[in-house]
Amino acid sequence: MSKRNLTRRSFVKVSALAGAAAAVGASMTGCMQETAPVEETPSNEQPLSSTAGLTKMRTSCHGCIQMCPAIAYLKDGVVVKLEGDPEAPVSRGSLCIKGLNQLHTMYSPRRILHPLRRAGERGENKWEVISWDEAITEAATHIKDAIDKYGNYAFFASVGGGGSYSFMEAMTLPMAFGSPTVFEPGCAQCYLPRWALSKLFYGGDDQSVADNAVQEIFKVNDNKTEVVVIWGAQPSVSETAESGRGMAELRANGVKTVVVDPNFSPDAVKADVWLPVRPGTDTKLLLSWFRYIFENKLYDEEFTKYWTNLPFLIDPDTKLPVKAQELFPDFEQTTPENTPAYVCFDLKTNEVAPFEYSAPADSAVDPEIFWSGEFNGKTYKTAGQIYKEEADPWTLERTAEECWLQADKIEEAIKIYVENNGGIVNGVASDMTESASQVPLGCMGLDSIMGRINKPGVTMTQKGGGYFATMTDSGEKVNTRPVTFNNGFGGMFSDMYGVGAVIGMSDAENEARIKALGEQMPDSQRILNKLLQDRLGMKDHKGLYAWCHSHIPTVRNAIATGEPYKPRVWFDMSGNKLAMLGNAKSWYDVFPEVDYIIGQYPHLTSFHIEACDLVFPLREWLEEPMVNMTQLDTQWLQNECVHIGETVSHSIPAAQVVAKCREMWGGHIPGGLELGDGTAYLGDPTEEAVKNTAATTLGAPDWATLQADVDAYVPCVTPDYWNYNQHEQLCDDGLPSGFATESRKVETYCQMLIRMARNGYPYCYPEPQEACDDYSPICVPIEPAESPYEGMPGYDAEYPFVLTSGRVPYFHHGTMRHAPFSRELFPCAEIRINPASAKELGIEHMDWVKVTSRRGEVHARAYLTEGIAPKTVWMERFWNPECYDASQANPTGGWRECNVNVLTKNDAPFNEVYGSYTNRGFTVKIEKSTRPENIWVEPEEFEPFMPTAEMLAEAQTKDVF
Amino acid sequence: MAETIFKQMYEPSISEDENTEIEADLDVSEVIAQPVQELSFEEKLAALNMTVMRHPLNREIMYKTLVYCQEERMLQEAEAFIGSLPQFELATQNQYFMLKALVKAYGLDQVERDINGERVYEEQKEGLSEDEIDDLVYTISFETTEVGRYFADYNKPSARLIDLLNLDPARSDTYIELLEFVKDAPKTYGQIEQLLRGRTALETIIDGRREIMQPSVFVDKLERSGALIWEEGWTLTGEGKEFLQELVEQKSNERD
Repeated sequence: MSKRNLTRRSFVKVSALAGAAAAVGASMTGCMQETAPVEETPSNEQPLSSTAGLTKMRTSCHGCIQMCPAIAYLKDGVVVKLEGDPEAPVSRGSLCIKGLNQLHTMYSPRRILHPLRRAGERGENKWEVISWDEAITEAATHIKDAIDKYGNYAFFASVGGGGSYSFMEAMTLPMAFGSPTVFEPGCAQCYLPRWALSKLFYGGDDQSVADNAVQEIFKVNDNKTEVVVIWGAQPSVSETAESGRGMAELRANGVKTVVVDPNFSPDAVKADVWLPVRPGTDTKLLLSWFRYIFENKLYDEEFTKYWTNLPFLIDPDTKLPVKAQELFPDFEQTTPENTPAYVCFDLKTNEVAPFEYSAPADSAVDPEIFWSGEFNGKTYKTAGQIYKEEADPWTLERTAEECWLQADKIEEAIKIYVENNGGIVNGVASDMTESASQVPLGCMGLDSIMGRINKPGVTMTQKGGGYFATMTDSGEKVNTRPVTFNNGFGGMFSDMYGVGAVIGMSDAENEARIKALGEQMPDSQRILNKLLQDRLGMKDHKGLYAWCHSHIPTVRNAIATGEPYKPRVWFDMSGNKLAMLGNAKSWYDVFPEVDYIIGQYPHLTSFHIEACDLVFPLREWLEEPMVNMTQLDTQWLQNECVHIGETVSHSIPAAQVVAKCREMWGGHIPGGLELGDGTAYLGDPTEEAVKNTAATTLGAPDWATLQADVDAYVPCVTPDYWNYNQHEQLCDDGLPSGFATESRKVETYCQMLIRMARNGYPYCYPEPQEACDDYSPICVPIEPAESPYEGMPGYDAEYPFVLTSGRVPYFHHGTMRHAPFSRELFPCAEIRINPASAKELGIEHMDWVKVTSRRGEVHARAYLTEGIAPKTVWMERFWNPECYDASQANPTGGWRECNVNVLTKNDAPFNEVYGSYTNRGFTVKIEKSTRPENIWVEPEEFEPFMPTAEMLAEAQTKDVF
Repeated sequence: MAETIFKQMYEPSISEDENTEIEADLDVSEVIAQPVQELSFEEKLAALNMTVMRHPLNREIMYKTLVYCQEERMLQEAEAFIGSLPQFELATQNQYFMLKALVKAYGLDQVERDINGERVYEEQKEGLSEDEIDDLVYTISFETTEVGRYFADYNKPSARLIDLLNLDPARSDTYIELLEFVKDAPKTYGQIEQLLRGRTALETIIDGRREIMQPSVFVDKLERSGALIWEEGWTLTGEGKEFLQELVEQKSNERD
C-alpha cells in the first residue's frame, strides 16, 4: 500500500496498527473515573486478548513532562498498542491521549530520519539529506567560524516546547562555547518562578501540580489531605493520567477542592468552589485571602511566630530584617554565625528585643507578628505588619469587584481552605503574566501562615529521602544546618565552577568557600562569573540566574539591533519556537539577522521550515532511553522499544558538535568553560552512554543487565522518601534543623529577593551584578498592563475582551499537532466566548472569528460556553496548526493564521524578578470572520499526517553514535 | 522613493522598536510567489531587498553579484565569480540558486542567446519541446536589471559607511581607528578585542540602562557596511581601503 492510496479507513485496517486505533478509545477507560467501575456481567465466553502474540515492553510515556509509566506492545518490530502501566502508583494504568498520540507521531511521514540541510530559501521547506559526518562538520564549522570572527558571544542556544527536554544540555552548551546566551520559552514563562522562589522561600519543593513537584497529596496510603486549592492549573487536562487521575481519586475520596481559574476546566466542574478570576488579577485575590485570614485570626499562630520571618522588624531604609546586633550592639549571639539573630517586638516584655533562633519552646521571647512602632527614633514594622497593610485594602467586596468574582464565593473558598488540612497547588498560569513572582509568593505565603509545611497532607514538603545530614568519622549520621546551593538545578554549578553563594552559610563561610574554589579552578570561576554578568537581561531580571537563562525579549532585541552583542549562530534543542515564543511574528522578523540556525527534533515544524539551515533527527520517546520524572517514591524506565532511521538521543548532536569544534581548534575551545578534561556541556555523547546513564539511575550496573530483567530494576523505589517535620529535628549545633534559608526560617517575607535585586546575590557571586530596582518580597497587587478598565493605564476601547489561555487535553506544548486523531478531535484554534458576548457580536457557535490584539491577528472558531465570563475569552495556549503541505500555495503551516502567540505581548512591563512577559491577560477584539484558506478542519484534511506504509516498514536500525 | 521602502544593508532588518517592516505594507512573499504579475518599481525593489537580506551569510554575495552583473555575464563566469568570493565559503546556497533567486526577485535578467548570440525570448519557445528549447538556447547569462542597479548603487559600501558614521558620530572615531588597525595585516578578533577593551565607545544605553557592548558590535557593523572582510583575520575590503584613503586625505586637507 503506498502513501498515496492510504486512506484513513484503510489505515485503520492496516493490521500492524489496528491495535493502535483501538487503543485511542480503549485506554482512556477509567482514567478519570471517580466511582468504582461497574463490573461487567461475567460471561462464559473467554474475551479475546488484544495483546495476544505481541511483544510487551515496559517503558514510560513522554507525552508530557510527568512521564507516566506505560507498556508498549510490538508486532514485527512496530509498536501497535500502548497502555498505562497498572503498577504505577498515581496513574494506575491510565495513559492519556497525549501519550497515545505517539502511535501516530512515531510513524508520521513528518518524522525526520536523517540529517537535513536546507536546499531552498528559509521558508521553502526544501531539504537535502546529508550524512551525520557532513552535518556535524557543517554545524561545527559555522560555530567555530562565528566565534573566531566575532567572539564567543556569537553563539547561542535555546530549548523548550516539548518533544525533547534538553534542559541541562541547553544550559551547558553555551557555557562550553564561552557564551552566556541561552533561552527557553518555558523558563520564566513556565515553572522557573515557582520553582526558584520555593528555594528562596524555604529551601523546599514548590507547589506545582503540573511539574511533578507536588506528590504528598497523591500518596496512596495514609493520605492526610483534606483540601486542595488548585490555583491556576488544570491537572485533568495538562497531566491527565497522573495528576489528573490523582485529583479524581482525591475527589472520589471526599477531598474538597477549590479551583481558581478563569476557565471552567474539568477540575473546576468538579470543584466545591470555582473562582473564575479575571485573568492576571490573582495577586488581588491572594491578598484578599491574607486579609481574611489575618483579620479572623485563622492562621497558625505558633508556626507563624516561630517558623516564619513575619515577626522580624524590617528596616524601612534597607527593607531587610534588622539583625539583633544592629539595634543592640552589646547583644551576644549564642547561635552559630550562620544562624543570625533578628529583632522582634516581645509580648512578654512589651519591648523591642533580640529574637534568637531556637525551638519554639526554648524561645526567650514571645514575638508579635503584627507590630509597628518607634525604636531609637526610627519607625519599624514587622514583616507581618507590612503584609497585613498590603492586604488591608482587599476586602471581599473590593476583590469581588476587581476580580469579577462573588464575595460570598471567595469567603466560602477561604473557609474550605482554612478548615481542612491540605494546601495550594499551582500551574503555569501565573508564570505567563507580569505577576509571575508575586503569585507564588502569595500561594506559598498562605500555606506558610497556615503552618502547612513539612506536614502530612500538605503540598509544601521536602520529600525525597533524608534531610541535611553528614556522617561523622565514626560513621554516625548527624543532621546539619540546611543550606541551598544556587546556579542550575540543585545549585550544581556552584560547586562545579565556584560561582554562587550558598544560602544558609555565613558571609565568612561563603567567602572562604568561594576563595578555595577559585584557587582550585581560577579560569572556570572567572569565565562563569563573567558570563553571568554579561548575560542578556540579567541586570533587571536576576531571578533567571536560577536556571542560567537569558531574558528572551532582550535576546531578541540584541539579535535585532546587534547590541550589546549579536547572538548570530543559534542551536535550538527542541520545539517549535514560532509556536512557543510570545509575539511570534517579532521573532520571525529577526530570523534574517541570524547567520545560521541549527535545529534538532523528531519532525519538522513551521519553525524548522521558516528558520533552520540544518536539522538533526532525534529519537521519539518510544526510541530514547531515559528515566522518568518519578511517581511518588518510584522511578521508571523510558525504554528503547524501537529505533528507526538515523535518529539519535537528544543529548548527542550537541556533544558531537562540541567534540568536532574542539578537534578543529586543536583540543580546546578558546574562551570556553571546561570541566576537568572535558567541556562544560553536560550531555551524553553516545547511545551507549545514554543507556548506561539510564541504567545506573535505576540501580542497574549497565544497560544490558537492565534489559535482561527490567522488572528487577523497575520501578526503582527511593527509600525513606516521605519525610515530615524535618525542620524540628535536632541538628549538630544543638538547634532544630530549621530551613535552608538565611534566617533558617520560612521567609514569607522573601528577604533574599531584596539582596538579589541589589547585586545578584546569591547567584552572581563572588563578582556582583549591577543593581536594579528592589523586588517585592511579598505578594503585591498587580493590574495587567492592558487593563479592560476605562481610565486605567493600558486601557484601549478598541480591545474590550481579556484573553487568557490554557491547555487542551489532546496536545502538550507545541507537540503532537501532526497526530491525526487528535487533530480530528480538535482540528483548529478555538476561542471560548460567553454566549451573551457572542450574541452582541452576532457570533454563533463554531463561527470563524478574527481575534486581534495590539500585536497581530489570528483566526479561530468560536466555542460558545457559559464556562467563561462575559468579558473574558480563552484560547489554547500554543495553538499551531502545522498544516503546511506541498499542495498549498502558502505553506506557512498556519502559524501566522492561527497561532495564539501572534497575539501575545513580549514587551514591558515584565515580571520584575524573572522577566516573564504577558502570554495571558491582555486585551483583544473579536470580529466575525471566515476560515483562512490554508487551515485544515475536516478529518480527511489530516490524511497527510497518517502513518505511512513506508514509515511502518522502516527497518530497525543500530545506534549512529 | 526607495528610501521609504527598504533599508540599507548596514542596518539590521528591523530595529528594537520596529516590528513592522516592509512586509507589513507589502506582502513580499506574495509578490515573489506571483512573478507573472506586473509590479511597480518599488514593489520589485522591495522583493529584491527581501531576497538579498533574507540570509546574512548570502547577503554580501548577492550584493556583489548585482554589481558584477551590471555587465552581462555568462552563467559559468558568474558562478566562478561567486565561487571566488571569500564569503562563499560559508554561504548556505550554491551559485546557481543565488543567481536564480536574484532573477526571481527582479534583480537580474536571465538572458538566453542562440548560437548566433541573438537573444531568445519566451515567445520563441512556445510550442517547443524541452529538447528543442535546449537546442535553441546556446548560452545563458545574467545582467543586472534597472531595479538591481538601483539596489546596488543604493547599497554601495561608501554610502553604507557614510551612513554608519553619521548614525552615531560618537562612535565614528572608533570605526575609523578599527579600519586603520586592520589595514596593513589581517587581525584576529582577539587582537581587536584587545584594542577596544575599556573604551568609552563601548558604552551605550539600552532601555535606559548603561550597557557595555562587546567589540564585535563594531566589527559587525563595519562588515555589514562592506568595509571589513574576514580572510584569515579581519582586513579591509577594496572599498574599505578606498574609503579609508579618502578619509585620510580629507583629514589632511582639513589640516592644510
